[in-house]
Amino acid sequence: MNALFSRIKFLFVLVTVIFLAFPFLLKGAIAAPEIKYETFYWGSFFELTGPGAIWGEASLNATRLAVEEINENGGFKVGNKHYRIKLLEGDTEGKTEKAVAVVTKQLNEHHPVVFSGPGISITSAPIMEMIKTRKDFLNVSHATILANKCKESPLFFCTSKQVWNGPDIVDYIVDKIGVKKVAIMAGSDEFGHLAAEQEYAVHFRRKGVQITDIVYFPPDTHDFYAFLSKIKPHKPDMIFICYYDSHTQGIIRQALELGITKNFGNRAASITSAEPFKNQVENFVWTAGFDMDYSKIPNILAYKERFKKRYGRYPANKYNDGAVLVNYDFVPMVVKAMQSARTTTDVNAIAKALRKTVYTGVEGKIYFRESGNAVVPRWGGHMKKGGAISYFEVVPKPELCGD
Amino acid sequence: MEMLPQQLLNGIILGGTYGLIAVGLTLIFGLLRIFNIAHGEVMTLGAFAYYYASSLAGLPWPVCLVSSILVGIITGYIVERLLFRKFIGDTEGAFIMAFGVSMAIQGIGFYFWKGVPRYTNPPIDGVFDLGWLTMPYHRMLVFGLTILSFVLLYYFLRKTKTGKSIRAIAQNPTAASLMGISSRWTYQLIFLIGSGMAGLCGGMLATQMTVGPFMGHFLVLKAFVVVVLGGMGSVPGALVGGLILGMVESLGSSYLSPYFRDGYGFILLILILLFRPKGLFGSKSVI
Repeated sequence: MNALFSRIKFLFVLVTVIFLAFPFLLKGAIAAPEIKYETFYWGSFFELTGPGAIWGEASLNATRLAVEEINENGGFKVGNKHYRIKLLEGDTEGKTEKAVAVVTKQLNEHHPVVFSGPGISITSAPIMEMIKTRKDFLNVSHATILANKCKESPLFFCTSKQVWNGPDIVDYIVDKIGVKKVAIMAGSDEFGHLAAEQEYAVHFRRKGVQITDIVYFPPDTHDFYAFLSKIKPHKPDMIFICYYDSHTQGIIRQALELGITKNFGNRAASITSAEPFKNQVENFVWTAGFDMDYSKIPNILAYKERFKKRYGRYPANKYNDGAVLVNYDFVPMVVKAMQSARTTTDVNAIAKALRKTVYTGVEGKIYFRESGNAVVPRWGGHMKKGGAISYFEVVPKPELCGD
Repeated sequence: MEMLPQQLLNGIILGGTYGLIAVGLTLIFGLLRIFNIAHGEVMTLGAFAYYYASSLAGLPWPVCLVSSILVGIITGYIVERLLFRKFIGDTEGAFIMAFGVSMAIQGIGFYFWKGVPRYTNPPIDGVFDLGWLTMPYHRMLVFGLTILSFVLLYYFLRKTKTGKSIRAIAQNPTAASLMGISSRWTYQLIFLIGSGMAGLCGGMLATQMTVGPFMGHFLVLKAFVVVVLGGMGSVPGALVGGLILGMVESLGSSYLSPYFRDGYGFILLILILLFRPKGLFGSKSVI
């Protein structure tokens, strides 16, 4: 009896173990075939050193985060193939010749069909020429200065002039602050000239504002007294600066010292440049991008947490992290276009599909116009004396989108 | 022409800055024959020292300037001891080393400080304003301190025993060594003085412009123009050269074209060198 009982007990335990182990054995026996991933090279050219580095680094951070998230979620599939993205990086230093060198090197070594970049517009021009000549890669860029040149190549995509800056910032400045005379200051490079003359001077004149001066300074200028002394006698209501943070901060500081005006506007800097003077400046209006410090938009809040997890800090306005957010959304947008076109190599097909892609990203709905200009929800910022900051939405007006 | 007094004043103040950057460089370049392009980065570190002492620690501005000088001296000591000592007399090797040091400090600086501009409060508030002539008091203070620095440095080199040692080494290292003057110690001292001046300059500039990891890089090239213009190794030459360059740039940018701002200085340099190849003060034993 005891022997029989022992045997029954043994059999019972054995069956139980087999029953519990069965799913694992089955899984092992018919294990899913391992997915073979191919590498999809994604080129980039951002300025990681030099005066535009705050833009380049922020842009690269956004692009890199998007790439890593796609890879962590299993990459992407086009047709029957699975891909993981390998982001190629290179420092252009904000110089056109370096940008060409960086892009050429990546093309020679890995032949990427997509490039993200740059952070500042000045290095867009030679890359655009490369695209027009080679026709074997496309560029998605938040550079806006060449927005109305997007139609020169179906492979070049950037954010519309309207969306970044230009008309709505000017309209706000004139309508809400009551500026009647403005002096424009810009760096004496291509970016500065285009921004000052083609973007802002045009729209200030459209609104009936008198432009007292358009002053260009060499990009390595730190002492603006000579330039500001020229502006002072004309008593502008506002100085509008079409250049970067370090220059903007220097100009605001020295303009306040010279007693020229207490109103400033900017395209291409962040609130960092004006915040130290919040108790002296009456108004500072700038192209804000997405507000990282105060926004309550759920998508932005979620993005902030993901960013913090990756980079150990929250994205912040002072780093221009919100202003370059479109770089983050461009990555999945291009992936979606490749899936729609069912190719990762046919640049023209990808470009064509990208023009038809509507993507709801962190920033909201993004789509490309036929010209290649992306329409992206955007914001302008306004800091009043004392430091109170408010944001106003920049709603793209098609007739002013630079097409 | 109504702007002329203002632009002249702007130029003088700017020139003082250039002179201060150049004086440390002229000692190192003129006496040690080290083309120390990393001088700008030492200045940048001095500027950051001022920024941290002032904006974050809230220390009074004289203490902040002392911290800038100390940071400059310490950096100079480390760099000279570990890197440049082997290259005394080897101009090419020293230049390559200096270039590497410059790139390294810029890269490390950018890694920690990023491209975010930093602002420090001016040491004193208020503006001297006559309507047709305006200048903030803090810029006048910086200019005054610049002149004082030059005077003290000149006195040190001319009237003190140590200063005479430095001049002796500069004139004839062999004879000076035979007289018991340690050339190695003197070279180190020259480097420390030059770096300390760079740190001081950085601290003063931090009160006038935004502080960033690349600020020194742009200014050191101007300093080399001033050094050659004023005469290598000449302290008075650095001041006068700086003032001349500052005024030329200020007036040229205002009345001619701002695009050619850097070119005015180089044209002036070419003209001076055509007629005085050793610079304005470079013909005699300079310091």
